[in-house]
Amino acid sequence: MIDRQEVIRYLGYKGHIPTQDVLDLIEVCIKEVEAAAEPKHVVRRFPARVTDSSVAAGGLSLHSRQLARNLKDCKEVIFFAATLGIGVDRLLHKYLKLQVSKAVVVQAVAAAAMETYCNQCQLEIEKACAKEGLFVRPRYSPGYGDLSLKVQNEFLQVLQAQKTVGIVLTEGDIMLPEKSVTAIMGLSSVKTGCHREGCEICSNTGCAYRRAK
Amino acid sequence: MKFQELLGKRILFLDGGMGTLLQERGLMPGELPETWNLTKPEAVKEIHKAYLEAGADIILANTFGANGLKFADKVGEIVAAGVQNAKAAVAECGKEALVALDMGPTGKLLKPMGTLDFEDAVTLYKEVAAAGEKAGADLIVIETMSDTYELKAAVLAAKEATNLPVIATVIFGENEKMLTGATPEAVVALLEGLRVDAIGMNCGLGPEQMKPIFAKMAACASVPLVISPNAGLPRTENGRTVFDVTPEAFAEDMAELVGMGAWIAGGCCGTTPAHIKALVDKCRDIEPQALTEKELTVVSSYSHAVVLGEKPVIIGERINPTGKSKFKQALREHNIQYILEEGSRQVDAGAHILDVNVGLPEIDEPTMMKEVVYELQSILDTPLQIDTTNMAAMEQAMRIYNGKPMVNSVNGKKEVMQEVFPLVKKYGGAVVALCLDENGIPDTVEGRLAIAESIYKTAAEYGISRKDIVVDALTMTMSTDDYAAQVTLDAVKAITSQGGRTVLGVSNISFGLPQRELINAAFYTLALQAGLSAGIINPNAKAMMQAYDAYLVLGGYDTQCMQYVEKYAVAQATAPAAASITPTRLSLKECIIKGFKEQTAKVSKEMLSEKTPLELINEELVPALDVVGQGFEKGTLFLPQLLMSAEAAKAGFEVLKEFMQQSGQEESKKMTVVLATVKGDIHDIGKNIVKVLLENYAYDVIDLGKDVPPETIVDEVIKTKAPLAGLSALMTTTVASMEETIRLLHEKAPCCKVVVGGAVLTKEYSDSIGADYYAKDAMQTVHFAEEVYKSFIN
Repeated sequence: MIDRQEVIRYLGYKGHIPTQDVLDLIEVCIKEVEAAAEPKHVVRRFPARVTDSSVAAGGLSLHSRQLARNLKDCKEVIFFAATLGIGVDRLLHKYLKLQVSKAVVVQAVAAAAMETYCNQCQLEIEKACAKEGLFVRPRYSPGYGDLSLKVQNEFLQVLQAQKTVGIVLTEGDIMLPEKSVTAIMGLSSVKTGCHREGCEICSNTGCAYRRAK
Repeated sequence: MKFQELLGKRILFLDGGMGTLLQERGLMPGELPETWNLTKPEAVKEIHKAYLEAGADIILANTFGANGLKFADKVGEIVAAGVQNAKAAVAECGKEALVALDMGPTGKLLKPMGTLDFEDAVTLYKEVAAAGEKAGADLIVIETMSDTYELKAAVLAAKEATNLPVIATVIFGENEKMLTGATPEAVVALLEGLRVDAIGMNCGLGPEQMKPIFAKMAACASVPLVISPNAGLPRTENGRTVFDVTPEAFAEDMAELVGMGAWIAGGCCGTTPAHIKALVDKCRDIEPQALTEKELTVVSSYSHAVVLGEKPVIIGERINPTGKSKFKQALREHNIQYILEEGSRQVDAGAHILDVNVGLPEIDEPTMMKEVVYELQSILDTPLQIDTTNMAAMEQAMRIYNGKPMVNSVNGKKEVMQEVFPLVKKYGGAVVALCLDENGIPDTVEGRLAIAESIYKTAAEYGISRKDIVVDALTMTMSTDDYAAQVTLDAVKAITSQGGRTVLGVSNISFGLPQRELINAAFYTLALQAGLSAGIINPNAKAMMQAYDAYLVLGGYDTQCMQYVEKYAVAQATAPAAASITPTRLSLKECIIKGFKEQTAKVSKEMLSEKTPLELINEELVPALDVVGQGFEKGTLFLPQLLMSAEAAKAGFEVLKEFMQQSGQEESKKMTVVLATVKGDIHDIGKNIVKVLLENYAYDVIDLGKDVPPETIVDEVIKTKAPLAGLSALMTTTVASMEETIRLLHEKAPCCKVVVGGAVLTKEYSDSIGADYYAKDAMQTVHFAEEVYKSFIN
């Protein structure tokens, strides 16, 4: 279920309520995005060695203090990649050519749909891991904080992401399809605090898309 | 021993998985497997030998990921070593087996969704194919493809660079589609059209899950089929990918798939020499199923196939400048959006295929045709009919078309057939065959059938079968001949009764008569009743669609009249309601502020009887835009509304523009602005928003698109003497190329100011990379443009 409030937030409404015309357009776009999306994800689970400043898992050596802190006490990690598929890119491309107002709404709807899908995937993973007495840490993505975006290529190769879910990189290490996410999730027998952090923790408090409260 | 001589005599066996076996021998994650061709040839040969011992007839060289993107100038050496290792393994085993050059995906996504140009992809594959043939490969296997467009590039490359036989297989998901959306029927249409020697599926699924999809391929393919499943669906165990299907279970399922028609069988991920041995033991003695010609007339897009000869098909005729002054103008002004909108409207109205004709004496038709086909297929999934007499335009469009096109047309003239049929043979296509020749159009049924027959015969000489010929019996006008319709209809009937496919351009029947739709719709119904496979019509014409919908009911194509009831019962129920909610007349300004596009166009037209276009612009349109612009900046009105108003205003401007042109007035533009999303960046939504707004404020916007190299932007600015360039970048990683573009612009075109925008930019950041102005949103770009314009005119 796509969260309407999130869509409105992505459209830059900052807590204001859209006009009925825009609300109607959002509903139309939700239908079209749902029809165009073929959400897919791939996960692989690896034993991990976490030091103060690096994480070794899946044959990769990831240098990042913040990731290492996020994965403190984790003996295993999950490599995760998810995408809404190329159909959503096509839809966006179509309206960029034909009707930009709709493209803007499709983009917001797709962003919200991607978030929803990742959360669903995470819940499934959490359920499965709970059976083993393991807790799942929040998703941490290549490019966040001090984890270089440069790891994206090897990360996707480990997941065979092109073959399995169709994610490829441009020369500038941007993922295609556009609505794609990669992340690392730690598994640990130690429960940490609130596991789902959102944009509220970001230091850019003046952002037009900041979630209220 | 040659591939073609063996094919069909007995079941041929491919080898199994390579990647996991290399990993067992020490290949590290992230290490490119093909490097082992040079560094550890013995390990690679060992795997080949194990498959040869297991009974493989064809082994795939370790060249799957070898291409110029990954290996640069080493690619030839890597490929040659890969083929030579495989050949050495065959020799050392003392077995008779063939070595295939293996070609997989490039690892990049093709334009327009991705960044790799189609012809660049062809070039990359050609390099590999040529190196493979030179090193002695017996055939080429293109496999694990998940995008039809890249698949087409690979096949064309293999055929153009070598004389080797080609096998091509793709990945389907459990949703029975490729990742980029193609159905099995669409894949078969594309690959048969490209004359691939054997086609099929590999990877992605296990043999069990492949069965329903393979059955669909077998139901429509007339060429040999190939199947190479994974050993089931993968799962991870202690960080390792494992596949659960045992060799015995694998062979069991494969025997069933071979029974369904596979001539070539092997394995993909997770399969081992043990799987291949079990497969060979189980299936060696099975007789290959006889090939049957399926007689299906099919065209396809990147997503689906359309069959002619079953339910009647609608070909939309509106992308054609003949008799349309606005369309001609759009072509002259290079207004691609106008053409795309024309296409989109027809698809919404029910067209199954779109005819594309962009011929105009004063334009470069091949370039325009190629561009229009490329753009149309990027926004619509409807198969296209390439309609031109310009052979260069036909070839370029067929080449870059993502599927098997319909081609319009060939006729009984020898020289025309000599030009068109080689293209159809090479690129695939169902071709419209007009019943006319050097002696003109026969006025008898027999005369037209004779020409159809001669076209069929000549096509066969090129290896093009009857199923790919769609006969146009030609619609002549009633106003010159009372029996025109009868001759055409009788010809359609005769061709249909002989199992042929037919097409007609319907509307010519009423040329010169009043109320043409009456005649057109009645003639259309009669033609459908005569067996017409496809009508080239205007799907926006209500009477034509009503005739079509009614015929589907009467012809038994609309099960329980469901589609008819849905369309017409609903239409009747909502029609009065729609009328009653029509708001009271708003002023033009109000229409724009509210973002009512249709109404804006309507009111603009009405108000032209009271005021001049210039008065309307100054008193209504511009003030309305200012109101929404200010609302947006104050935070009382938001982006979707701003854009809806901008689009409404655009509809108003279009009306005024047409009026001015009819009265011989020139539309005045302020100045040229060049827009681009910089090299490396593919997110261009922000740039497109800016474009719409600048156009509203009468700027002549040149949109260079996304992923644009600095040099291209500079060249365009110099060429057009644009006083302003707008650049967008979304990612921190691409701001560097924005900086480079600004530097180059300031150096080569110092008079041009540069405005930048994008999610990661700030005022400080944009200052540091040398931009003249930072726009935090689209309205600020407009303000800056107005500033530049003021100094530009002074």
